Amino acid sequence: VGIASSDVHRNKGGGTGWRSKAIAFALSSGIAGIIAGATLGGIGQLVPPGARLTLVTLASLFALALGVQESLQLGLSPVQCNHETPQSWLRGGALRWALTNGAALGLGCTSRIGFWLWYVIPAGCLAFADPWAGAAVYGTYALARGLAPLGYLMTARYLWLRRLGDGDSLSGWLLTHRAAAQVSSGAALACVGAAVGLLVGP
Amino acid sequence: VFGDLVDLWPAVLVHLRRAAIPASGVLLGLAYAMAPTARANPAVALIALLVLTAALVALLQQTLP
Repeated sequence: VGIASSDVHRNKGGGTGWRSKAIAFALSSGIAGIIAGATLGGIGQLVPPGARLTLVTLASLFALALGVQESLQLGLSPVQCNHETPQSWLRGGALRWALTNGAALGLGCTSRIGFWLWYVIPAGCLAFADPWAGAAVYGTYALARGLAPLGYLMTARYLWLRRLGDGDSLSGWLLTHRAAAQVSSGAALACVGAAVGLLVGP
Repeated sequence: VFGDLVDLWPAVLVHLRRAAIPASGVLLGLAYAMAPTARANPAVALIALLVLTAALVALLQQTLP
């Protein structure tokens, strides 16, 4: 959604200009995620397998508890850098903004995380202790996050052409469904915790 | 026909995005239900679960202001 607030958004009707920046955004995001995942997977290899198994079992129980509290909306907010992309990055131009913001959002941890479920990604990469698996997991997250604005812009463009009201915009719909997303995230985290506990536990 | 499909595609995307949260929940539920079966090959099951979770987080984060 962030890409829509930049000047990438302003030339949406002017041919393929905005598309190339949106693609640069997605690629930058994906590459940042792949590098982060591979690095975390490599770091995980430094931990002995026995200790890693114990830590994963404990983490799965912790995830189950956190997931239940989040889905019940008990108010324990995730540990995060609770800020948006610096506006000063826009001064470097649309392409530079797309590349830097893409990389930042692909990493995820330098801005708002929003959900405890996010921690499953770096923790999973570390626990797997395999750079390829880490790159696949973190890369999936980063690429999905990077491609979302492209889908958003395509959809929004269509909605504006059809002259639908603001209440029908996808951005507005997403923001008003934040509570539902929180409950879904908590339930998903509890399921992941239970599934991992069943798979790797004693 | 191709022109109609191109015109319809963005509307299809809207419906896909609207269905994404419940659909992801169902998929995660299935993954959980299949966990005992996945004991035969836990590494593959775990990586599939993590990849699915990663995509879900990215999707849910679109609701952040």
